[in-house]
Amino acid sequence: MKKKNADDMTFKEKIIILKRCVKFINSADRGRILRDILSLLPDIISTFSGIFLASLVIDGVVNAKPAEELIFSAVIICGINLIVSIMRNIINAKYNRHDFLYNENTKRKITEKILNIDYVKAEDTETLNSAQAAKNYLYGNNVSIFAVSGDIKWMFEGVITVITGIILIAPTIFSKSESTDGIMGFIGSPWGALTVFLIIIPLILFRSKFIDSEQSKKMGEVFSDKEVLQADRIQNHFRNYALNNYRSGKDVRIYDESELVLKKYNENAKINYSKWTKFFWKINLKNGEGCFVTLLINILLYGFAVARAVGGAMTIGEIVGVVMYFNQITQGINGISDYFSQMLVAAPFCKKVFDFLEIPDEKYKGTLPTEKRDDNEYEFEFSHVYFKYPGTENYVLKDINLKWKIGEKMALVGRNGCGKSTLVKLLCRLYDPTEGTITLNGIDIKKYKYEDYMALFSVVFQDSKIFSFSMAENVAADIEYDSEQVTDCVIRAGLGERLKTMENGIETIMYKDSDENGVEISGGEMQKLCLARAVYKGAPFIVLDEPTAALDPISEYDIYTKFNGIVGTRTAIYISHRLSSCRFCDEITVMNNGEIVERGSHDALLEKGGYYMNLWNAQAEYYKTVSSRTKNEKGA
Amino acid sequence: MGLNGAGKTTIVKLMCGLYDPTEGEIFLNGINVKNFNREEYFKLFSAVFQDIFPIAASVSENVAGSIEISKEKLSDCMKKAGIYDKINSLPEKENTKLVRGIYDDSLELSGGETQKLALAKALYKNAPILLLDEPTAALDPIAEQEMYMNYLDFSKERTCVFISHRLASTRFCDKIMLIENGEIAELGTHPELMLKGGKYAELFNIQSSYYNDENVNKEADCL
Repeated sequence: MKKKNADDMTFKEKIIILKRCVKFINSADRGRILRDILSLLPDIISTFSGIFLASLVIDGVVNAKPAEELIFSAVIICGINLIVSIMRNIINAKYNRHDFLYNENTKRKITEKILNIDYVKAEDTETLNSAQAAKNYLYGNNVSIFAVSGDIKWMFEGVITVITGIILIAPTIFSKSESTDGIMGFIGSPWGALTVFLIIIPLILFRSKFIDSEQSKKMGEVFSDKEVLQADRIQNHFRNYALNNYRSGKDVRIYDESELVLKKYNENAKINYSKWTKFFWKINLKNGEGCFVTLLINILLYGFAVARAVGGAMTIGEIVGVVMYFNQITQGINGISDYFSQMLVAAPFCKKVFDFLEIPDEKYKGTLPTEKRDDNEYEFEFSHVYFKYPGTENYVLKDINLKWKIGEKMALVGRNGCGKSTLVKLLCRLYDPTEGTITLNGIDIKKYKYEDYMALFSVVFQDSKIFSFSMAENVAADIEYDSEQVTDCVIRAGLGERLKTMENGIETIMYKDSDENGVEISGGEMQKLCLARAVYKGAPFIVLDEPTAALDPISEYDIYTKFNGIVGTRTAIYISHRLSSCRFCDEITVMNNGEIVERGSHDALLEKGGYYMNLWNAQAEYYKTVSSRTKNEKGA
Repeated sequence: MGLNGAGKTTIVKLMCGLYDPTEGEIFLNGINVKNFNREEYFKLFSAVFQDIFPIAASVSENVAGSIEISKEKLSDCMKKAGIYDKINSLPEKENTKLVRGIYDDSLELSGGETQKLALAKALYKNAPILLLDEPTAALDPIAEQEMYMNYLDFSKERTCVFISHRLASTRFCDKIMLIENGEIAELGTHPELMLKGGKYAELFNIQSSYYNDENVNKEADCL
């Protein structure tokens, strides 16, 4: 992704982005912009009718109109205000929840993208940054897409205000004055009025455009400042750690981490604070300049109004009216200019949302459907596969040549970091090999339709997680499920007894994040649930990565002995540090430093007396019979 | 030890004061722990739980916390935990930032490395009571063996509670407690419990059978 500065977008490009924002907003919250604009009307009516009343009453009092007449007018106008107020409250009450709707719908778009993106990109820092930026600019600050919808609304308010103001101010401007001589006369005439306005309006525009474009630029700089972005990420991380994740609470208390966490949080809050403070100082100084211009405008305006009043062209009430209408018009023009330039500033940031949503999916290029084979005759082969993670130097897999016999149960062993899990990830097409090919029944796996290919695998990873949904939903990985089958898989995975203790059976919610009646399950129970999930999917190729790490000896024994029952005639890969599990597999592949070093059955490898034997003995020595152990202990 | 869900982690959580018992009392040196200031009480414990969450800070900050970091102590603890070599091999060594995606160059440690880091953290605190909940679950056989060898060293002059399914680890312990369904089913040393021939003996034999038995029945119990 090219990195663009805020300056790099042309005006036309910005307008295009803003149009996309409008579409985006409407898709998340139908009719929002129209509703927003309509919701402005009550307030505008209220403001202007207020000015009209003021003008009317003042003139009425000055001209000694009968009280009843004045009261009558006042009642009408107050009545209008009351109706308008009620309308405004109804509209607000009805549409407040739409903010929530917008928020949820837009966040969902981002989440969907994250869930479906190519896995290799999901781990890439650039993608993560892009996702983070997209989340930032949806909602919650002045340059987000949500802010743009606000900007559009307020810009239209400006437009409507200006138009209304001009309509209301026109009669008083274009009324003739009594004296027609000299300067007074000139001012009194429509031409005079026009001249004054032609001087004032450029001043207004000068003030808003000039100062604001500086402001917009500077604001853009702060928002895209790398340190600010990093400070945001850090703050979010600690907020999650301390507040959203109740499990981290144990460590926080025992290690008294509150000081450290607060320190880190505050350090970064300070960075944010200082950058924004600097920005606001600069802006406020500029705004100070703007005050002088405003002063000048006001002097001209009042001067004009008084001159006309003296000349008899306007009544006192009309002066008040003109000045107040004019203020409204000025505010309107400022509004149009301010919010428009703010939208232009927001455009490059809103673009980041679209950039993220448009990250291409490269995996979805294969078109071959995998043949449905009832005999589960799938043959996989790795040919001279090399792999290194994107952006890194070291090869994690080197010259891997591996073929699976159909229906074979293979164990994959080796030390931490030797490449076992990586090999599995490549097999599942989460990554593509850097060199070499992986084939299924002789055809390069890249050629297959991605969804079809994925359907061939049931995997339990080392870091598999269970969601805070019901047990059945977790096992089926879906909201719809076959209850009988779910129950069957749960029992086969060894959770039958635990299931009986749950009141709601397979409908019980896991963990306490989403439901206070949720049950807390142990690490081992979670692993069993992941296994149940793999079994439920019923895919022809099953991969288990450390499936018994957190299991007690009985459960571990269960998994081993029932392994064949669970796996059946399917092909299986079994990764484990519990070398005891290898004895249940047909063949063992031993890896070290990204290479395959040994291959064979358990007995053959022990006889060979090589690397595998060392691993085996390291573990087995502790289990040797009592007599030989106590002998060792005495020596230890 | 005990089966999954028997209550082992719960006992540990009660011991270190994260929860209070519903009934009954917990005593430390004869005094009901409720009488102690909770924060002071926490200081007595170093714990490595099953779920580990590194924070977005440097390795040394993760291990030592925010107090003054003693480099010597830090290296020593990392060596005992088995993670010194890995950290030393990194360009920024102990200043490397953790948790991917927060800093530009932050690192994501593997499951086993994270576990070792958590152990280093527990050792650095140097508390009188050390609680380890499945500390070798993610370690390969060699790393596990190293941990056992170091265990005698770092458990010296400390009270240690070691939860594990790896019954091999029991040989280092003075006392073994078997929890079943929330109750203490058996209590004793390894030889005592083996002699007793109860549940513990059964578990031990099941696990050791794979390592000792020449003829393992592969076709056992098809469902």
